[in-house]
Amino acid sequence: MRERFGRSVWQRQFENGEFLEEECQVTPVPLRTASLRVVGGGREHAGPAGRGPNAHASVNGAAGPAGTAIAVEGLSVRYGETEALSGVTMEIKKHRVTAFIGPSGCGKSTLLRCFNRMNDLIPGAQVSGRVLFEGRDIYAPGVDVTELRRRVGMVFQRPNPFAMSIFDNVAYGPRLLGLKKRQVEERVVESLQKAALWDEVKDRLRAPALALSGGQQQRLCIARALAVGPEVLLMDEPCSALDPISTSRIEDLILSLKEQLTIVIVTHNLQQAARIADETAFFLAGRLVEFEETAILFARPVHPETERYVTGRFG
Amino acid sequence: MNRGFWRSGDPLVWTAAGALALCLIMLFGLVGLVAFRGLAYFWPAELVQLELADGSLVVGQVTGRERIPAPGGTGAAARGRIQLKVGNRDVYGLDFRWIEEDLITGWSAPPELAVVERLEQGDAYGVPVRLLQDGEVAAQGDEILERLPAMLAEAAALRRELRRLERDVVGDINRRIEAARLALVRLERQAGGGAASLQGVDPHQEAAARGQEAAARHREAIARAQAQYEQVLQEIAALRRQLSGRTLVLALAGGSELSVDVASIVRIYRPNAMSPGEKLGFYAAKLWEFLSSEPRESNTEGGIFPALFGTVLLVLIMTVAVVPIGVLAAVYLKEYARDGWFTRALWIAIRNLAGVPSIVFGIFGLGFFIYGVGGSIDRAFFPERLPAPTFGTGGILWASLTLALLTLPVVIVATEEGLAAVPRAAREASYALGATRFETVWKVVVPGAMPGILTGVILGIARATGEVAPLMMTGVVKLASELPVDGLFPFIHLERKFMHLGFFIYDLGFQSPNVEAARPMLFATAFTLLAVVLVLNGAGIGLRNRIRARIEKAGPG
Repeated sequence: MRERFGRSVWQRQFENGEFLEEECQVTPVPLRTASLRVVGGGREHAGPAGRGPNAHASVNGAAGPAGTAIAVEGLSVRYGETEALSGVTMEIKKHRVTAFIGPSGCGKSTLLRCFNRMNDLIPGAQVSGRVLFEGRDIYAPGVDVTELRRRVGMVFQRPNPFAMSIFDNVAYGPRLLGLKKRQVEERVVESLQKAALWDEVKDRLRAPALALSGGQQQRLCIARALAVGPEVLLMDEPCSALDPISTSRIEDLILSLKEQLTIVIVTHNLQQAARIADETAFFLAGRLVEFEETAILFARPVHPETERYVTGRFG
Repeated sequence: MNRGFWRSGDPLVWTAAGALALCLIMLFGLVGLVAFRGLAYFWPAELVQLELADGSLVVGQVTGRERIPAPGGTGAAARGRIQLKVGNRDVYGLDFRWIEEDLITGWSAPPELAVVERLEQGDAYGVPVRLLQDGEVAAQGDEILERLPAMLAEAAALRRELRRLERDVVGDINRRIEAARLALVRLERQAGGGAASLQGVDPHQEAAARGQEAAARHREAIARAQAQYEQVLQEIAALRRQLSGRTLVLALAGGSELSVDVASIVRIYRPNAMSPGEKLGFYAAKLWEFLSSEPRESNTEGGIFPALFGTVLLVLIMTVAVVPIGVLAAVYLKEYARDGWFTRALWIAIRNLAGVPSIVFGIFGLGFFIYGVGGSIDRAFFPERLPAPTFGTGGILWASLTLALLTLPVVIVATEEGLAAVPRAAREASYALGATRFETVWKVVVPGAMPGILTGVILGIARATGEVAPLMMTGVVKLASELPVDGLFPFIHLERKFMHLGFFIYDLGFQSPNVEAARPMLFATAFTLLAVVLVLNGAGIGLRNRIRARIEKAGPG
């Protein structure tokens, strides 16, 4: 499984003419697992250091502009007759937290779900325009969606752990990759540590995940998403079902994960966006109204709609 | 005020509670009746001696009491009558007698009265007076009951030996003869076919010579087996002689005497002289005999073990057959099939299939499984046994498959409901981790639907355990001489006919030559069937709860 995963990356890059010499020197997947193994042994801070250069190497090597994780070009999404998103163009920068805000039904979740093609699961969803991840159009024919979703992880609005034990939840992704038992265990430990859940659950890894509290469940879902080693983490209102203490723990977690990952978060909570996001995008009725550094967007919004929204006068 | 009363909803609540109460009364009434009558069967009932108005004496166990409707209206005082099991079928002809209570003048329970359970002719009731050995008096009075147990044990051992000879040894000889005969038939068929294709060439003659040699060998084997058979017959005759010769003489009520062959006595006891502890011990022994031994006296006495075994095996084979097919079909329909008019029509068909009368499934099983599949198997693999069928006749395999078909809709519908109950969020979580549809279905959705699937299996088992009608067409019998599982290769004989508790009840209740005598056994069997359903369901529910606990609620640590 792991071999196949690695090969498919190579083959596709080769076919796309993006096969570059720098990448040739390292086989991406084994190296990634190797670096993760280091992390598992030596606490979480070894993680970004071990992983960063490798990630950057592929950034610089890939066709996309340096520092851009996801580029959206003229993206529109229709659900049957209704247009959920129209003509969005934006760039999500690497290793930053990008927040999507806007009133309900403005299309921000739809956009988020375009980044890992979760919209494919909704019957009748039609996507036009381009979404470039690492410089490649993820809606191009022949793209391996499962591999895309491994590299672009997702955390949902309501905590949705599987009806399995805590361990099996986190191990689910690594097992899909076909890792050996020992490697799976290492990844589980490491992911739970990264998600700041390890100390709370280390003595009861075999207990059912659904027995955890809501906040713990959400951190478990984050750990589960981290366990497959994604480069981008999409979070769809991850704190809307949680109490304030759990929310603040998740926010701390997001800030600590920023060093390793690119994070895109949809939120209804403007204070939350202000607290954690480096950049914030404001959506209204399926359009991207304004996309700016968070501080600027909240302090000096250009558009009157943005101003009305961030000052709480509508939405 | 009145409006308020109706709007409060109280009348509806009371009606609903009443409906529930009615259900409970019916349910507990049925189960209570079956349990009471079934479990009372094993209790050593008191033997009473009645003096009647005409001066005669009657001995028996009271089995019932009812009022006689007064002739000519309600004016006359109602009279009662009791039903007495008087036993001694060979003397009185009938073992039950109704006696009007008015005619009873005396009622006593003498401790010396004994119940003699016999292999044939039911129980005998009387006072043991003499034990004869080859016509000579060997013991009298109380001495009899001291000497009898050893004799009964000896007789039981001899009977077991006799049974071993008659069934296992003779059966084995029969099988050898049959195998040799079938080998001969095969040789003849080969020789016939060979003669047509190879015309008088050398290899043919060689083959023919070899064939004749083999045929001679088989004929010799048959002759050897037959000689052995003669020998075994002599052994059996010797054993029979050894068994006979001892007679117990009982004094019956009214002065006559009854001679009982000791070899035919199962047990003898004096219920009126037993202490409560002895009665409990007796109860346990009877219950164990009921569960572990084979029936006798056309199923009205003895045990029900073959029927119990057949029922459980039938349900197990059915479960093994129905669960994979049902679950896979439901998974395909729910998770993979495109939701169009065809799929919807299929769902309607499946749901309606659950309403098809079970007898129709029985007829289908007979036509498709037995005549169709079984007949083809016979023609392809057992041609030398034809016209005697092997798989082309009713057997436990075909009955199980018929029941599997019967319960298939239940399992499919329950699985579908279980799959539908798996939250969309769980599927999304799996997809978001890079799982394919296949991985999502088999690692998240199906395990999540497991409690629902097991509920379906439990419902299916409950339905199948009680089914009788389809079995009557697919291989259930009143008395099967062999179990479907035994020590002979290949150990599991799924082509064999089998016994079943449900059919046992039907047969006992409606086909028995002596319905009155069969009645206690009937209740005991019905209770056993209820217990089997309960145990099988309990196992399923226990399994489901364990799975639920593992996936939902916190365990320790």
